[in-house]
Amino acid sequence: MYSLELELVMKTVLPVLFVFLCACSALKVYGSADEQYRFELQDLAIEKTLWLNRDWINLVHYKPSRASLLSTRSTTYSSFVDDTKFFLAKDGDSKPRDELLATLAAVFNSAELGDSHAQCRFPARLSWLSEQLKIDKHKLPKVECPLYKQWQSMVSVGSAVLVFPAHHLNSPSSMFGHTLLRIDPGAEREHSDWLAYGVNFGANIPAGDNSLLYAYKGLSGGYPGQFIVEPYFKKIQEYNRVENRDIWEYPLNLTARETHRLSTHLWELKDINFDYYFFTENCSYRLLELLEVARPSAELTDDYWLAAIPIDTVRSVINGGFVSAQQYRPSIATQLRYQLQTLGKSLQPLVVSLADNASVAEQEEFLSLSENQQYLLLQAAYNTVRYRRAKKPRDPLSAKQSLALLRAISAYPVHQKEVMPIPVSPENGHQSKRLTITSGREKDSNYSELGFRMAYHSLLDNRYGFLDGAQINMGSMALRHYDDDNVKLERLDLADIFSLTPRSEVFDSLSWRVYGGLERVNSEAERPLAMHISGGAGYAYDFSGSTVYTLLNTRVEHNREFNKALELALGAELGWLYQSQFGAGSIKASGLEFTGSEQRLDVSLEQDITLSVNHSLRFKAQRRWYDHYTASEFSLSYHYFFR
Amino acid sequence: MGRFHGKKMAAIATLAVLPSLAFAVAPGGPDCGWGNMLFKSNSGLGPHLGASLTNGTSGNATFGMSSGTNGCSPNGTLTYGGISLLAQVMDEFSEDVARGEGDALDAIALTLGIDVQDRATFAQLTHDNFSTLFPNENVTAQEVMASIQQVMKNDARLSKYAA
Repeated sequence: MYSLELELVMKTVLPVLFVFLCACSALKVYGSADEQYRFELQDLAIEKTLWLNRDWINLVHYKPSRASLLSTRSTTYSSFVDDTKFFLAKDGDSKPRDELLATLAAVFNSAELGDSHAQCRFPARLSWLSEQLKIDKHKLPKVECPLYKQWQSMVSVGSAVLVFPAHHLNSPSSMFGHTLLRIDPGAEREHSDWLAYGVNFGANIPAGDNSLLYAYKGLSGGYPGQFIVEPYFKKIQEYNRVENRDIWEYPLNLTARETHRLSTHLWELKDINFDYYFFTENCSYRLLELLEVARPSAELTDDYWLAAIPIDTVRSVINGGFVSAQQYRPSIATQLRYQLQTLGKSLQPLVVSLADNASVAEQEEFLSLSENQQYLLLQAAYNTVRYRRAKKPRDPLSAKQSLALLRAISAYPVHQKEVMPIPVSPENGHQSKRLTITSGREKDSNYSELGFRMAYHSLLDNRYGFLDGAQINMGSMALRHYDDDNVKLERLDLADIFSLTPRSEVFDSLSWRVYGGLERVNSEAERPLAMHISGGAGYAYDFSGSTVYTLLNTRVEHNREFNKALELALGAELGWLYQSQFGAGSIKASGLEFTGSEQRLDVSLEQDITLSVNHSLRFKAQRRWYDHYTASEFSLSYHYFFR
Repeated sequence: MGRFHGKKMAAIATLAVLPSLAFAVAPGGPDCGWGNMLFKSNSGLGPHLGASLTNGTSGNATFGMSSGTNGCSPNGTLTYGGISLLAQVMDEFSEDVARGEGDALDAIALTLGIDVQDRATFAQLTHDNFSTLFPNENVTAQEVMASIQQVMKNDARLSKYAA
């Protein structure tokens, strides 16, 4: 019955309607006052070429295409947004003009559309267009937006804070850190940081997806990224507690108008997909865009076409004059390290036995200590249990143990949390890129070398602002010129990651290193360019402030002097890394034996001399004993860190 | 096109190096999460490597649209995705109560509608009653909230906040 009626309607009414609509648009017949006003606004927008305005470009996340930057032809655009929901015009993702005119048309749609009405979906666009075209709100349909109103009442945006969870090595993703925004309610509401909201751009993850496949897709843009708004305490739990990352917070000095733009635009991005790329179109890049929408005069994204390293984006925001203060939330591990340091080495065994068994607190060994020491011991013991259990599922025994420790702590009077000394903040560390000029002598030949590193920090670089024992190098290369030869590629490292964590009673960390790329290998005849992947794992120990480590190493190498295409090597390494008042230094010895029976033994000494945050000198002496080659090499390098 | 191609190449190149690394350090395997360590939690599983790699979030992304409000809710029923705040911060709350101060304690006090000038009293009261609030490690958030209400009821200054 229904279908019959429907068919009738389709056959008779629709064609008529269609003809009518066509006539309307072709003849631009002004059907009503609404339409008349709409056309007026569109004409005015065309007259002003509003779609070329930077604000509009920001609001729809357009970027000028790269080719047109080089050519003189007219600029073409494409939007970073990869989601048809976000565009009102058919080719809105590449045509700013069409999208603007379509937006102006859509705000006149019937108010019955409710939450899906353009006025409800795109409040930031409407508000900007209203300013630019002096739109008379009374002439627009009056639309109720219950969902948007509900969201505004929950996620009230009074001010915003840029949040940087620092890097840690035990998760590849966090190697460069991360950024998110915290939005706090306005001054009229009482506020707790914990109950504020975190605004995070990340990939939206289908349940049950395979981890490694995910990793690949995440890097290559196979998954869409979205803005996600979550209670901030979840972020604190995630970073401070589970991943052991210190959190740095930078309150932003946005005006009321700017926070309004931020909040209205954030709503426009609800459930909207962007392609996610680990290196470029990542969390940090998207936040810069958000801040540009909030403060259109700021130009934050311009420098980031190759890679957006989170701490670089933090520096951009600070240099852009957005930041008025700074706060620090140490992770559980950082708090624990500080507590252990305060207690001193002699009491550390007692921390461990307390962590294993709270009833140690009733023994003479514990009771004979001062009340302050007792309290600190209990705190450290509790944090030890938390640290050990952080990534594991709950287990009944350690739950019982934790509660016993808390009960013991609660028997003491109310204590304020100990105030930790604040370390050098990460934005004050050296810059991410590095240029190196080296002059050296190898065997009987002098050479000069030019090196470049895309990112980020190696163990001998100035440690201030960085995590100790964390080396993360990506995309580093060097060109070398011997006096009697042409300029040749000396080295190309894709990645070089080294995690050196001293073990103690409490921290039973493994140290490890993975690196790979191209490098010249010294030999009698010439120096062939070998391709390799190398890695190792072992233990590091604290040796009165310096670090001694030993690693078992393995290496797969392709070298045209080998008989086989690929050869495997096994070996060991012993090293000593120290900090002096001039800078860091290291002494190390490593040996490798290949399946093809080639042996290599390397002994080296390096000393960095820090001149200032972004400048340093480095001396290196190295002796090699290879099968067909034995010689020494000395070099002096100048490092310049920049962005 | 060139842009995407370049990125894919970079990704593939990086991944040639990453797998060994990923296997070596995948934190705690697929079961790792930030569910409560001490008290049982119903907040679900946390991130695995993939989630972590793209700073993603698995689970229901509500865009902040949960019941409850950003700020005060007069009866302490602030919930996120239907789960009460207390259930999600039980570990931190118990630690703060044991010590007698902290962010989790403040957040709970705020959701109970306790005025700023009465926060110290609330902290002291819960601290003094630690063993009543947390009699054993299997106590639930509902039971802890009931105990909080009870001890508040018996306190001259805080009884006005008790539900």
